[in-house]
Amino acid sequence: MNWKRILKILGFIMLVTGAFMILPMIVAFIYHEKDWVYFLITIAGLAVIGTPLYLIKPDSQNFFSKDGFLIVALAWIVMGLAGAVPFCISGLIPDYINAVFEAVSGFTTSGISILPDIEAASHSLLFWRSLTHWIGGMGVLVFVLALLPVAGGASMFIMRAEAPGPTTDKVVPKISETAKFLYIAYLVLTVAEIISLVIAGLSVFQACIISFGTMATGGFSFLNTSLATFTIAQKVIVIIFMFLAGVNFSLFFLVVTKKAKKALADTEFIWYAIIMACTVALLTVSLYISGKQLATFGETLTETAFAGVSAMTSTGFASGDYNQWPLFSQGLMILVMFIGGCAGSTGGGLKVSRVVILMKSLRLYVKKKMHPRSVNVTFFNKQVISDEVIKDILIYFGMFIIIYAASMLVVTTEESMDFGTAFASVSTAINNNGIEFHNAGALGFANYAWWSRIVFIIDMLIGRLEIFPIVILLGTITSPVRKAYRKIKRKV
Amino acid sequence: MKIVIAGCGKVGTALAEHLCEEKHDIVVIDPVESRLNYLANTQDVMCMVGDAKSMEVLKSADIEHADLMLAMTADDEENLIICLIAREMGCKNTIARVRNPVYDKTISVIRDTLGLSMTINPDYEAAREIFKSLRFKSAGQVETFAKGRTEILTCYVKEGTPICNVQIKDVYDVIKTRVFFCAIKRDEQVFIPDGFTEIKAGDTLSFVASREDADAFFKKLNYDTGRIRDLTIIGGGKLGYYLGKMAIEDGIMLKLVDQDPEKCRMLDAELKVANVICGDGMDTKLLYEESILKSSAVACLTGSDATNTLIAMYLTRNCPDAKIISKIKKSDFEDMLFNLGYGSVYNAKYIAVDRIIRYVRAMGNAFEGEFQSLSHIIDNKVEVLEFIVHEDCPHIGEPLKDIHFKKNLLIANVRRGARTFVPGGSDTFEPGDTLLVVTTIHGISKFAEIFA
Repeated sequence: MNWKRILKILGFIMLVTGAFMILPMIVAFIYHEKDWVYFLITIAGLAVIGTPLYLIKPDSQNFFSKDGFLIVALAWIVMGLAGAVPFCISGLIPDYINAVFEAVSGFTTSGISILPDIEAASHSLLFWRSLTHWIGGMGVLVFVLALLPVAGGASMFIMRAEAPGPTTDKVVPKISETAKFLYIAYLVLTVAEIISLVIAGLSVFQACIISFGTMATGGFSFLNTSLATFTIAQKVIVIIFMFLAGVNFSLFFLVVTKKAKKALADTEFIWYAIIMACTVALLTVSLYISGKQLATFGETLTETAFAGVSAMTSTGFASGDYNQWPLFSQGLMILVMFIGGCAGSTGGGLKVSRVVILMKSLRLYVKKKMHPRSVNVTFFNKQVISDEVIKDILIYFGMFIIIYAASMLVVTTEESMDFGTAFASVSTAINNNGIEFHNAGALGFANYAWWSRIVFIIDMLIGRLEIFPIVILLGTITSPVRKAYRKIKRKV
Repeated sequence: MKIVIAGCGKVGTALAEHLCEEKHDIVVIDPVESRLNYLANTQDVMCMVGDAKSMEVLKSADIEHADLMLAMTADDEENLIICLIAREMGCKNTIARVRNPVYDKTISVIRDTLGLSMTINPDYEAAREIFKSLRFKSAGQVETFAKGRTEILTCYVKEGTPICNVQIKDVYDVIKTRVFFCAIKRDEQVFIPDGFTEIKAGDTLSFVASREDADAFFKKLNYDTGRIRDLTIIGGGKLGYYLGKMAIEDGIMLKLVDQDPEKCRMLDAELKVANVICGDGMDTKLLYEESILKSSAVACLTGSDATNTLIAMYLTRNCPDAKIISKIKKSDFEDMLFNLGYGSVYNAKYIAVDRIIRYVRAMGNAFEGEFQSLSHIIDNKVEVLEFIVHEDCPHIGEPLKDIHFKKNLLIANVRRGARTFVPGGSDTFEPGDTLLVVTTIHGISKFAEIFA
């Protein structure tokens, strides 16, 4: 492990996090709020800790796969801890665990809020809360390390560890070029949404908050009721951009380079669209059958489309109180939460490509049981999927289930909790979703015990970083314990 | 520059690593996914699974906009076809690896007809390198510059030689021979020395000297300077064949050992004057019987790294006067073997990679012909570059002591007309000079880049 180099990059990440905090400071000045002090204190703290770390001279330039995983896990934890400081010292969220919960929920684009009254928060703190979404959406490390020459040869390992999806594909040979393109696409889409929402009647501040939440598939709003009071036009704009945010961003590269046909023929994109359409259709039917439809078909369709897209892309905006919807709708929404967006998008969940490859290989496996000598090849996107990739996906799925079950067990230690709420809460955290289903009696996430909230924080990080960085970090931390155990075992 | 490499074998991988270090955009194509995994996981290159002969695959590698196509698959004909297709699709520069000796005479015809920029034969290039080093019995590696007038030699400093524990500025007083030390490797660290660096036993030294001075230097150090008159080659592969041919042309007595009777017959027919022996090079009885232990040089060039290393170890013990050369294709242990005193070790893939990188760097140059040559010495850690000074170059006519050069870089030699000399502080650059630059910085390709 090249600790010196890891610390150097961590120091740099602290400085970058501090630099991002200048934006909410500007917002504070615009709205004549006193909150800029809290940001200034945090920036000063980050600079004091981050600068000496950044100035460390590493002994060697060696950097391997495990260092990549560790740096990603540590950087995200550091960002969460640092991002929580303004919430905490401003008194908005006095409990530090809660503040970290809010910041991690922001960076991992989960959008689960612990705030009882969002509307009471100042503009600058709301802006920072949503900006964490936007920073975390595309993966801040890839951005920082690919565009700025700190990491050198290490960027390859970091990109592999941070980018979502089963395989990392580059649209052009160089990582820095790929990252540049992806960020430009991300930026252009965000600006496009801000402009559309301003035209549809929101203020620039409100449009920024909603757009950060949409493009990062986050879900923080500026109202307690999320987007319930928005007009149909505003909702439709948000639906369209949520859908785009769940698409693999390298498809936009194909569109820009005039290969739109190839982009539309992408297997993952087709499945993403099909699953989305089916979800919306089933949600609409279930609303009509249970008699909970709205006045017109158009309005009902807007509601269900919003709910379906928001659930599947893991955005987690709400256009109404989904707890009032029929149980089947809630079940369906939780199911598509697990499927999630496309690989290489900002969405959470298992990712469409993983689910599709998993299903295809399961089918072939059953076939192999019947015809033991048959040779089966899984095709995806017109390419043969190697057994290695299938194995990776199966392992990913297995680990996901284990972590899910373990989290459930911890959360159910709370006496006041009912099973359904616990199930929905863990699902929404691990899939970085943000839609909260709970029984009439149960309250929001702030009411969970501290240990459950820590488990949710870990779940959100695991969901966003795709399990392995966090698991490898836990393994590294606990390795002295395991060594000691082995020593004792040998003596006995 | 955008470069597409077909074939991810040893040469393809080494090329991708080197070129990636020099910030080129690299796409590597290979039909076997497992061969690509290592590269994809360690380097910032784009890897594609597929057959580079297919137009579709080449198209998705964006060959139309590529500056260079390197066909490095194991198959000569495949390489030629890949280059042909790539050129048809709009890639202007193509380089193919062609190894079969059958093509030796026809290659120029093929090159012209297919419009190839260059063909490379790693075995031939390696044979040439080894052949050059035969001229100095005690040097590990010999690189020739300035049209053969200057050489950079690498040697290992043994315990008890007169230059041990002597500062470089005092070396002339001790041995009365002018050599110019340009790089030292000590404890896995390679550095460019200055006048106050002390030479220690166990160092690997690189120095610039004319042939006469180099001979005198080795004599003063009590190293063997005898000429090599007879050579034994163990292993009659392509490399052995090429080296044997060169040795015969130079009038060196040649003995060639190979296990395969068929191959022996063929080699005997090709290399008429050679004494071809069919047998196992690991068989010590055979080595005695055929008095191989008495040859003044032995080259172990079989296909197996382990065999070559073992024979080299055996021979260093049993015939300490001979120059031992061995070939390694896989590991990066060449330098360790050399430092342990098991003779000179060559790795054919790096020699081929050097040639191609030289071509790539010259391609990216503004002045045609400014960049003359490139070689790597000491474990590939030090680069030696040759530049021609142009009229538009900066700092012309200024004394060297007033010019700021990059750190870890020195001008080892200047050739002006027929004269070559080691430049001093009051010397100047003149247009038309050829400079020899030694540096641990990788990736310099323009003359202007040597200044700070």
